[in-house]
Amino acid sequence: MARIGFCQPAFLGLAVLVSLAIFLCIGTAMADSNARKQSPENLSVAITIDAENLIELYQSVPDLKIIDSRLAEDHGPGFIETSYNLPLAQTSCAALNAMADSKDQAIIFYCNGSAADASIKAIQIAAGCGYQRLFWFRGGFAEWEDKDYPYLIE
Amino acid sequence: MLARLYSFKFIISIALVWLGLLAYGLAFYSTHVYRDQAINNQVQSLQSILEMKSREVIDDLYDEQKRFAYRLQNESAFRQALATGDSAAMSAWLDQSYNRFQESTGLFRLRALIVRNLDGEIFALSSDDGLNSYSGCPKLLETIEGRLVRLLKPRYALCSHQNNFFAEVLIPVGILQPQAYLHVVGYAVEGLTAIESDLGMPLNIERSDGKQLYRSENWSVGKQGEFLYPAFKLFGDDSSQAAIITASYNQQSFIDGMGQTEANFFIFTTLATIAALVLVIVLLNRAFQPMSKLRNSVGALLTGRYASISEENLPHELRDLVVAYNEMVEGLEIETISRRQIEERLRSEKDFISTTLDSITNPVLVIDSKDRIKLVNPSAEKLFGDKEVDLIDTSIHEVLILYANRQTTRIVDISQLLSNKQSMSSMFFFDADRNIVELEFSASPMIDLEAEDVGFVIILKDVSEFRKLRRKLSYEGSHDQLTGFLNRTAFEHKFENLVIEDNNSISQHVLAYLDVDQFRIVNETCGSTAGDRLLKQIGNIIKSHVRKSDIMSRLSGDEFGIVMPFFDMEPALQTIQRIIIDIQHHGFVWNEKDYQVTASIGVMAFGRINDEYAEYYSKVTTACFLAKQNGGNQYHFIEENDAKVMAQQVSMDWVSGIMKGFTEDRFCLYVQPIVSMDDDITRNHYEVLIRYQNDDGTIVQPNDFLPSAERYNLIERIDKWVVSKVISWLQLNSEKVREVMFSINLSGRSLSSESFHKFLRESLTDSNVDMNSLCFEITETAVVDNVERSVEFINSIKQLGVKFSLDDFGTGLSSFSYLKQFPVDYLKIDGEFVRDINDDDKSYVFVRSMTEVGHCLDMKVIAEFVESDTMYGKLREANVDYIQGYTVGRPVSIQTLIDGEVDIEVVKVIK
Repeated sequence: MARIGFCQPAFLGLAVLVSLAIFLCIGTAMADSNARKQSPENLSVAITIDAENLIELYQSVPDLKIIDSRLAEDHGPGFIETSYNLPLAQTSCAALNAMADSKDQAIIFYCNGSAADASIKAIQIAAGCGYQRLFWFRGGFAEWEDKDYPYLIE
Repeated sequence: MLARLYSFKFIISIALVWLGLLAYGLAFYSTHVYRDQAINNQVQSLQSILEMKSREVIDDLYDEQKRFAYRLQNESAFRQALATGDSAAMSAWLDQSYNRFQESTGLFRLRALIVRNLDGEIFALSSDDGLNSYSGCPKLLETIEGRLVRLLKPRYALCSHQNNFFAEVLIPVGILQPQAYLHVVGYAVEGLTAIESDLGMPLNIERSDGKQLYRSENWSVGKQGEFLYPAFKLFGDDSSQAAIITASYNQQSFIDGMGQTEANFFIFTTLATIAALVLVIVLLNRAFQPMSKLRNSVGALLTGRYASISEENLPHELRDLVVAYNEMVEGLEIETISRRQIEERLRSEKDFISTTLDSITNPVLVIDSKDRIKLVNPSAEKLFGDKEVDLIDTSIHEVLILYANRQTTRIVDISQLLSNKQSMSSMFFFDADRNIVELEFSASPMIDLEAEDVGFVIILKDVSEFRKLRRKLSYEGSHDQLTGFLNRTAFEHKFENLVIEDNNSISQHVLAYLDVDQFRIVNETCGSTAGDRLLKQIGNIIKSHVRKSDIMSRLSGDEFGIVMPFFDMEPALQTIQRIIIDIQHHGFVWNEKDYQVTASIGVMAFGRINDEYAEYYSKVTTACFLAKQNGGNQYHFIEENDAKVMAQQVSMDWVSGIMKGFTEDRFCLYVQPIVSMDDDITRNHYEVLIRYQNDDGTIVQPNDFLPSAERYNLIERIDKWVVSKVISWLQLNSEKVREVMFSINLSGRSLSSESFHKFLRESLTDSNVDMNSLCFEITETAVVDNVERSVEFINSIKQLGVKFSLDDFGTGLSSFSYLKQFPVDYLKIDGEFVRDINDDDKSYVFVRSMTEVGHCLDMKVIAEFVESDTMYGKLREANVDYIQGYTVGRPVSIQTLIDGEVDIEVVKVIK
């Protein structure tokens, strides 16, 4: 069998291939960490729901509150009917209390969608205020619009 | 092949032109294929763009309508009107909103705004025209009308109605708590026209029912092929009608471009072909120039000019050829001179040889290895009656025809004669006039320098005359040494000559055939020397009575043939009679013992009918046979249509009939009852008789064929057949019939045959038949012929338990003392005596005494031919034991025994 030397073409070819593979792996890993800025699947203080769950809840739970945690300029062009616009910046125990005086009040939070975290923060505030029955519509308005559910425009 | 017909230059030019044409054709074909493909692709891509755009427009339209509806819903006036159920207020507000929309947007136009309750009924609508007749797409309304499950999402539909094509959206109001539906109806076509500006092509929209919905102002319809019309069919949701969107695309510039490409290519290929042609012709001309010089020089060779060619200024491929050519020319010059000298010498030698050959008087032939004649001398020409020119190259087999037999010729196998490679003895051939010549034949092979056979020199010698002379002298060839008479061949020859020579005359000749009656006895008892002496004496007797001119021959053994030419029958018969008497008187003495010698002669006349010798011979021998049959010592003269001779010939015919009887199973068995005079019948006794069945089914009596069988030695075979048949019949049917006894006739010949004896013993011992049911009848004459042997036979067979009966008793006239020796059980008195018993007292006495003698010897006596009741009475008086005849039973087929008919008949007659 022929001995493989350092200067032989086979060895050089192999080296090029290996270095290329390493470079590619590192590249994709870095691209991933930039692109995948996703909110978590579940929160410890709230129950995660989707669009269908939301409709179900609304029809079965009386006096359900829906809070849109987005900015007002996002809310205007399209929002789920009956939802209050309470932007994250204005979210506080007092503001929440004005809408729901009971800590047992069921509240759904949503924002633009899974890539935004306004609703997460709002829920954490609400939890901090002592609200017990919190729901997180994780897909937010993006999911709602995608599924072609009707909404309102101001 | 092709190169032989046309010049090289021509072929190459044709090939080049052909290649050029091929290249152009290929280019033409491929551009056309490409163009068609390109146009097809273009249409397809335009169609998909059209589809994409159309769908995009419709989607935009839906979106626009939907968003307008969402905005409306958010307005308080709408909510209030809905909440209060004020339909008038709602309608007014809808009107207002409708106008607002029409003003705000440029692209789409609304047809109507409708609010429906949850059951789909109209609650309020904008006051647009035409809604009385159109309340929305039925397909769309189906989804809410009378449904319990409410819509949660908007529904979209394309619908055609009257002259329009609508895009409609049905939106639930209050998604979480549906309260009503907002139904937006928009014009779809208006939106679709936007595609026109997007594509930059004129557009035509029509419904699939042909209704024109839209057409661009600059819509153009051009010549065939000038425009492409990509189209897309937008189906409505109610699937009733579709909108067909067609664009028009001018492709003229593309086609023009393709045409230009083709023209360019044609020019290019033409130029290239011409250039190649010119190049090839120039090159070939250069190459062939020295060749044509060489050709001219070779042509000069034929006229005898031996000129060499200059080797300078030649391409080196040709130089070698020219050098070789020059050497050849030199060699040829020398060759020609010496050849002329040799030819001269050969010619003089050939003249010498042919002169020699011509002077040989014997016919001389030279043939080659394929037997074709190559040379003949004048003598041979004379023999074959042909000129040399005609004989040369013909096969020797056609010329030398062998005379092999009297009337047949066959081609002589010359090659076989030649292979012997030695002088042959003489053979008979036909010469030119088809005369038979006898040629002596001598052939010697010719061998060339390579020691191969190239042919033969054949020298013939006509020896006909010489042989003829010698044959005349030869006496032995034609005469019998013993008697000095002609031998058979010579006799035949003479006979035929007589018939041929005398063809037209009415004269008559006599043919006689003599056979010595006791020659065999003399030859066997006294030896062949005595036989020869006897023949010689008989020859002398014949010679002493016939005329000198008569032809005598000893044909074979003791047979003599005599031809008496031109003789009348009467004196001829007298001569014959004298010969017979003389032979009888002469007798024969040997070792002091007298032997009675007689002769039988067949005589016939011939000459009037020109028949073959064989025919006469057969007739005359038959006549002689008949004379012998009648006791010998006499002649039988054949008259025309001689009945006896005819009968004899019929009996010959019977031979084949009998043979057929065996192979085709034509024999059958009949039985005739033999009835006891006493009443105590223990067994039914029958005589077995044989019959022959003809082609037409008629039954032939044994009298017709048994004499022939007897004469031609077939009787033993028939006896065997009968015995086996009876035994197998008994084996098959013994249980079906009462106890029987069958009497089977055996011939004298069978009696003396060793093989028959063996056969009979084996047949009887091998069968399990009751031996008491078999009896064999043998005639008295047969027994008397050879008493000793017959008695031995009877005793041997009787040991097995069968009975014997002596048939035709009284005819053999054997003395009663003989009878004592015969160990038989029955005695059958010959019918001759029985028949006359009524009228002739002698017969009665005879029968009675024979019966008594039979009883004395413990034999039962049978009388046959009993044909009347009075005979029956007489026979009872004579104390006969059994009777047989028509009065007690006719012969019937053996098979009827099984049916029992015979039994009944027998009983009736006896009573």
